[in-house]
Amino acid sequence: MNIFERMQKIDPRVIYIIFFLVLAIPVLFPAPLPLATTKETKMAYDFVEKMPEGSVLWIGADYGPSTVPEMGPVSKAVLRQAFKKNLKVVIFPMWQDGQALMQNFAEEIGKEMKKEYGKDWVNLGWRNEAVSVLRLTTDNILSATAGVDWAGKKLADMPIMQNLTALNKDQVAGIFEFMTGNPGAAQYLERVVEPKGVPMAVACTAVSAPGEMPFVRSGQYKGLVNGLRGAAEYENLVGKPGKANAGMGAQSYGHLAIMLFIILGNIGYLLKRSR
Amino acid sequence: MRKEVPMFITILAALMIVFGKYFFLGDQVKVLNNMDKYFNISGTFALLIGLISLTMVHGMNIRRRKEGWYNSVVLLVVMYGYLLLGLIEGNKGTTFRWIYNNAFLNLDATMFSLLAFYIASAAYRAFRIRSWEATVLLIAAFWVMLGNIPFGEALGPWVVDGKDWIMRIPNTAAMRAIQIGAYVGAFAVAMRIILGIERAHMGGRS
Amino acid sequence: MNPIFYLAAAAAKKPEPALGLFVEKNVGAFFLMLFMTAVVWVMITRARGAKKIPAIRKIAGLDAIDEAIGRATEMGRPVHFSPGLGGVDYPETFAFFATLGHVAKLAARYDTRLINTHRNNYVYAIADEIIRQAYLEAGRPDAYNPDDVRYLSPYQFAYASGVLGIFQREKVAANIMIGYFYAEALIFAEAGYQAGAIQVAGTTSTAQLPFFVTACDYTLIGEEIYAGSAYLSKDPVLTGSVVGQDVAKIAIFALILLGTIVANFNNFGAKTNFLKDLLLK
Repeated sequence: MNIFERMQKIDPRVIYIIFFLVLAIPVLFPAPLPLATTKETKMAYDFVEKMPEGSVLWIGADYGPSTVPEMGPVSKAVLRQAFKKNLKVVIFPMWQDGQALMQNFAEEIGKEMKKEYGKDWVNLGWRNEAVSVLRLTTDNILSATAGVDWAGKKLADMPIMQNLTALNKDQVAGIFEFMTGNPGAAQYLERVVEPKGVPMAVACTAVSAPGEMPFVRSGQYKGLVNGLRGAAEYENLVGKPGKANAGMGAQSYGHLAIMLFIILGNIGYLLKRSR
Repeated sequence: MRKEVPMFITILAALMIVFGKYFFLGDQVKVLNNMDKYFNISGTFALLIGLISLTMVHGMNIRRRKEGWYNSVVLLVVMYGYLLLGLIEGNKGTTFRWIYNNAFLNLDATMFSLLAFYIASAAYRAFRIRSWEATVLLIAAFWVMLGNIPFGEALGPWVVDGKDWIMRIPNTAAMRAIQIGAYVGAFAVAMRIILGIERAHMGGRS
Repeated sequence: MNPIFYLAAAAAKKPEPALGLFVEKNVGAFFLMLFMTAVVWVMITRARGAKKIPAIRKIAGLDAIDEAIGRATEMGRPVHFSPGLGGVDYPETFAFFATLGHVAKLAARYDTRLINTHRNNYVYAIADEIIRQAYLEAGRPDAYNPDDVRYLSPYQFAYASGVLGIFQREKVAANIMIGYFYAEALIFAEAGYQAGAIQVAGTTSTAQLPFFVTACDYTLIGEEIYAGSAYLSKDPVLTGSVVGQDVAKIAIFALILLGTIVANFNNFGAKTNFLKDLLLK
């Protein structure tokens, strides 16, 4: 077997080891890399920035632990921006994991920015068949959630809920949906954005971004934060670079490694074919 | 009767949703709300089906001492143990949240991270210049990857502009075509189900 | 009653019907639905009346399903079938149901093991019934093994790791994936490749299609999966509905083209895009 044939039949484990090292080293020794802001990220940032002080920002927490490295930093950045602007944050998870994850992030950022649960922010909690619950919140939040938050506390007693009865454009300034799949932004589009006229920006994983891009073009999304890169850009816009910026090194070298693999694979393929 | 009753329920529910969505019925919000609530309640009961099925399959594994039966023991202990802990402590409980944040979160993220390695090996194996279409695909993929990282930006603004153009124009066009086609297809499936032509989901012949 | 309920009632504006009959902004959508229903209905009626309808083109991915089961039979190893992560509210899951009946019947006839894994409780219950019925219809009710229809976990990656374990332990010879897939798509496809299985995949998920195309032997793209029941059963009525779907699609593209022309020619002097106004009435 000559070298070209060997290149064609390389053991995947060799690729895995190389890739592991390429990803692990920049994570262990992060070096900041310069980053320009894409138009869609800036649109999302401006969307929150233009909300009047004291208005309600509805946060859709629709992702699981697997995508925390991509979705966590942007969740924190948006929460930081919202709290800085004194927006009232309402967390509504359609994924059961979204409930716990966004709760963790909001507790962390809320503590840092001295925001009080029940007054400045609330977590409505996950319920089974959450898509139906989402539509019900457009009519009456208390009835849809059985009147309690994620931990069973009465919503009616909370100051934040005193002027908030339903998810519509009169009571909610906008939605920031963190999505990785279904249920996600599509459910908001069908049930809230189109029928109730509430504007929405979206943050999604890089793999979902191509599929979500048409909705930015059509004006149905007011902005799109695309994966880890978008998260890093958002962190920079908020003025507090965090884990997304640190992770960009690993992502950058990872991309370069994949490109190198593709080139090597093709050299082997072309040389084998020419023989 | 085994097929007629589900068919009747399907048609009734479909008509209720169509009427509730398009026709002005005065108090239609109530109709739709009730539909959502029924779905909600029945869905919650259906969660039990999964629980019972898992218990039966793994209970059988243990009873028959099938290969790897001890894994079934672990599964049942963890499943019922965590369920019980949740019931006792509630989802705000310290131990409940500690297990979630420190065990489940990491395990789930680890499984997802496998994807990075699989992408690398799949790219190495399958991304070949076999035809001119494959070459166009390869160039587009290269450009988008390069435009997404700071090294690409360093080469000049044309790299990022090119990436943005690929994402906004050809990508959007292709995605729209697939999505519209898929939605029309989904509509036809819904029609077949409502008209009782498609019956595969009720068991037996279509 | 809680005062908030009064507040909600007071805040809600009294809605008015559009054209005296429809919910506001839904008139255009209703007539579009009516048109599509009519087109599909006409084609189904023509097929029922044994009138001539256009044939469906050859779909390599669907033909490959029989080949995959045949190969598994020759090798004496099982076939794995996954519906992905979709629930019963996903039309893709109904495409899975339609294909599952065919696959199960073939597996029963050839005496090949079919392992069907699930993450959704509803889909699991229905699939179990379909497979049981298929074995009965194939005259092999004894060969049906309830242990091979498995509910693994509602969690995406717990389900994925369960499937990977099955690939390794059971040495599957064929892996069929039809339904709605997320990030587990490439995990299954690449692990299936490494296990040496012939792979047929189909989804409408635009994010996962590139992975399937790259890693699987055959891929059904987008709406091709919905043609499954008609294509595999060769039932003329089902075929009629697929043809109807294509005619509706052509009509929608004509509408898009018209909308583009209207928008690009400055709405032909009108103040607003009348086509858009009509559809959003």
